[in-house]
Amino acid sequence: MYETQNKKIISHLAKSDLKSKKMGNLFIIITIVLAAGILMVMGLFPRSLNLENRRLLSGAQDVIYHEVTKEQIKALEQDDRISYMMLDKNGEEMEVDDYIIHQVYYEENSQDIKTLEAVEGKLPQKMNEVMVSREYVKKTGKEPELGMKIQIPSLSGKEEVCVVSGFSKALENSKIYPISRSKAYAERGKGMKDVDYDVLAKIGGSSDMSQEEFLYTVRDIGTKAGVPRKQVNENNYYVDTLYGGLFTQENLVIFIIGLIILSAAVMVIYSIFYISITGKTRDYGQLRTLGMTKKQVRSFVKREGLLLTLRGLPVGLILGGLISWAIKPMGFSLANTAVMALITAAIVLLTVLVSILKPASLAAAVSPIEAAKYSAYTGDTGKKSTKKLQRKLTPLTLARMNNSRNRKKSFITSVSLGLSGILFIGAVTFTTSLDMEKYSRQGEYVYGEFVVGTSINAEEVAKNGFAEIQATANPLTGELRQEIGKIPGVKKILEKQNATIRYDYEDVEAQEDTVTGFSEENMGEIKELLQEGTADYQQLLRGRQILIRGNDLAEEIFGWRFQVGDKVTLYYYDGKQEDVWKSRTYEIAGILDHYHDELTDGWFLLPQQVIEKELPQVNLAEDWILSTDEAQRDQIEETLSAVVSENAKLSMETLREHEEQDAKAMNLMKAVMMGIVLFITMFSMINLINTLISSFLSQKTELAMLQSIGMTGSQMRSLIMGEGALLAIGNIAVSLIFGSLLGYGICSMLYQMGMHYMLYQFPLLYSLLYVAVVLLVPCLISFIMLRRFKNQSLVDRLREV
Amino acid sequence: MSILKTENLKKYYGTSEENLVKALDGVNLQVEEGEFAAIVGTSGSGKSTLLHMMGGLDRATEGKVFIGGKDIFSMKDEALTIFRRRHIGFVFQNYNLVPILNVYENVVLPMELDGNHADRDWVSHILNILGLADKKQKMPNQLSGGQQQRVAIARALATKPAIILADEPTGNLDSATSQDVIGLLKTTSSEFNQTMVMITHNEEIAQTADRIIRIEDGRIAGKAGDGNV
Repeated sequence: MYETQNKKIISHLAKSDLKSKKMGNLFIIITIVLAAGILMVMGLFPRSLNLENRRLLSGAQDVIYHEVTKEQIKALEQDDRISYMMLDKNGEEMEVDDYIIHQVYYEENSQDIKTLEAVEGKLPQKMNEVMVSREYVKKTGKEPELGMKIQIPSLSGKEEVCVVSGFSKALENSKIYPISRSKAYAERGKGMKDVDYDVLAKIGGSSDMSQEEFLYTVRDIGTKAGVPRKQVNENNYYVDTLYGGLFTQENLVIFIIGLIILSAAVMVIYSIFYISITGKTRDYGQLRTLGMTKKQVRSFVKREGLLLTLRGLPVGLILGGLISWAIKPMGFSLANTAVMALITAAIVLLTVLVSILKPASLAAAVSPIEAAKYSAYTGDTGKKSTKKLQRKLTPLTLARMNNSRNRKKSFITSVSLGLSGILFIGAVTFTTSLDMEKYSRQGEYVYGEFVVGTSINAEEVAKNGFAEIQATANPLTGELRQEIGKIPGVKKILEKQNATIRYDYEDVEAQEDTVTGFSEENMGEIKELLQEGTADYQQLLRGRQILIRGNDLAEEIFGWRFQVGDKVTLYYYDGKQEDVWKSRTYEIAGILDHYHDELTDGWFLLPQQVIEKELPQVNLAEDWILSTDEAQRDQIEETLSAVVSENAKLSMETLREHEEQDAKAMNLMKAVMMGIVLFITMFSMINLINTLISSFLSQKTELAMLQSIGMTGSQMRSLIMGEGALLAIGNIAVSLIFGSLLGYGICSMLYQMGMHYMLYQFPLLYSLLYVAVVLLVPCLISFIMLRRFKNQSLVDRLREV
Repeated sequence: MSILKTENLKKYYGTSEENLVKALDGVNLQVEEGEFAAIVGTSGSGKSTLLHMMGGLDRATEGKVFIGGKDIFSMKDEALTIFRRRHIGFVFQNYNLVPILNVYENVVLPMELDGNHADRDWVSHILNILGLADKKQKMPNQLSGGQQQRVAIARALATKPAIILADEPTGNLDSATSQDVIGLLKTTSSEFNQTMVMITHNEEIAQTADRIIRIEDGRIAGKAGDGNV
């Protein structure tokens, strides 16, 4: 009874005490709101991302079994691990003007696997029925109407008249227009009857599988049905959403970021409570004199802290939930949000309790008389006497002495400020160092801005694929090269040469690939990159040995690695006899990790002379990469596309298109990153402002006293601004030094990982901005505080001791 | 010749009729050069307000204060502050020492703020008189109350001000120490020919002054109906 009454009084006291000190409390509440908010967002983000991906992929297949036979389809149907499957066929693809038409057949459109849906009319049934998008019909220059007749061009040159049975939605941001065919056409139609079916499948219970389990399952299903590994194409996006184990790189990164943010939050909460409680030690001393026991003081302080936390926490949780929803509406889940809210609440409460613990026991430990005397102003200076008789006494030196008065408080504030500064500088270093031009210039674009190659139409119609084009009708002729070379502003044309071949190795038969040539000059580089085996140029020249590059990729695709000493058979097509490929068997002499990755597509490397001997008079050109004068690029693009459009076998791509696409993707990532950083910065600004204001308030009488003995207004301004500036300068130094180190570390780590577009660059503009803000905030606060001081008379301020 | 003079000095707090507080209500007062005047009065009588007005720490609602013939309220804040640190020395009840500075630094601070370097011999002389010679490098929190008040007195004397204004300088001290401090104040002010105005509650201390000024309800008590002394 007595105990409960006690508690009521303490709770009542705590509540009314809070009412009397609005400003400091507001900062604590804002800090709690921000801390809870940011923890929620950070905690939810990876889960939301995963969930969004899963939801986006819910209508997609888990796996495709490519080019399966009737028997294999039957076998797959009987495997009860497949929960749903359907068939499709991919017919010919053809470039028409600036777009591509693609003939497809889908067995159906279902909730399990969404394919093309008829938004108007119905799916094609009869042999000559098709479903296209309205946009496609408009492209052909006609008004779209159900039941209308349209001409579908084909690579054979003949046009086919079809009836439009329905309209589908056009693919977003795509040059490709699918032409959906009926089952009848897929079975017997000229363009599709020789094409094998693909099986699109969903695996039962796959969402609960780990990545490893899932891959094993889809491959095992394939094996049991007799579908070779290379024809099993798992949906990589889907695999990414599956559990990949606790210690993946991604989890580690999230864990580290989370830890940094959490420690920043803990720091700020601790700092703010520490300042608030030590500022109120006198009040607690008063309560002690009035007869409050130590235990009661401690629970009083705790209760105050918890009351404030409970006011800020729900707002923070709701705010965090809303922001998470706004960032990834598709990934929002009430259950996830609720769980995260509970975790966040627990972390914040724990932090607050820990933050209060130390100052509360400090407040409780001092004797009533001592506590009543205590203020940050009369607080222990930690010194008994000075070494010098007189130190330099100016407003600025006084400011410095003042700042060193409470080392612990300054330290906590500096650390929490510094931490967010480091994160800020680190993050902006990352965004500044990400060289967008270099990023877009990966691959062939390292060497130029335009790539001229052969169009897919040419490849589709050639019976022996690209090898036939190279051997018989390569459009990349010397004449054309001369013509392009004459376009004003074209500085250099680099020819990418790869010979298209077929090869047998392990379970792979007559797989199309390329072999790239090298000369004796390249041997130094090759020997450096050699991982296994040997590379002797003279031996290689004999045409019995071959080098391999990119074994890791082979393992990812096929599940096996090329082994030194094994035999591999290559088939060459020189076009002299139609459809005849001649075979050569080589021994694998050496294996390289990388080799001229930008210009090399295949696994195989041979001396150029050996390739030329096998393929005499074959034009090995695959692409031309044009390096051009920047000022003339628009003109070049125009001229070049005119040249390319004259020849149906040519196609071109530009750096500009790549840059536009990349910028879109990167801007989003940068925005998210800057958002998080700004959030943290805001957080530390609150801390800075709180520190400054509480330090001014605790010095109010002292400043009045200095004024009474003759400190002028401008001297006081220098003193106050000096204090703020000293705090800011320390913070700026820490942020710039360690932030740059962090940024540099991230950049060089990513560079090492192969992201060669990460080149460390000091973020000058952002750093200046940061310095300006960090310097300006104390000045602004000082200005406001001085104004407030002025409104109160000197005498009144003097009295408040 | 009067060094300090007030003319119809008024200080009102509050704006509306009901809550108007007349802290000072027309005070006319003259203090002669070298005089030691004690202001006495009950709590809330307005004696502290009067002292603050005379020292230019606060501005009056009405009336004027002349120091050495100069109307101090005609000066702007910044100029008044500088005037104050050059011509007036304050001693407060709660000493008002800067905790981060040692004894010597506290004493020379007003001079340093004025951009001048303190005359070391002069400061040492004052500290000797006040018995603080061996405490120069000590921090304030290492001193007793009496010692802290003596530091405050040293600070008030260091700039050789014409007037010393003391607001209950012995309020926090025991009676023996009080006598000690008052004795020192009198000795030094007469040695340096300074004028001193001191607020006190202590009748015994007041009796040692050249003149006692009594304040009641914001007016000088003396001849009935007349605020002049």
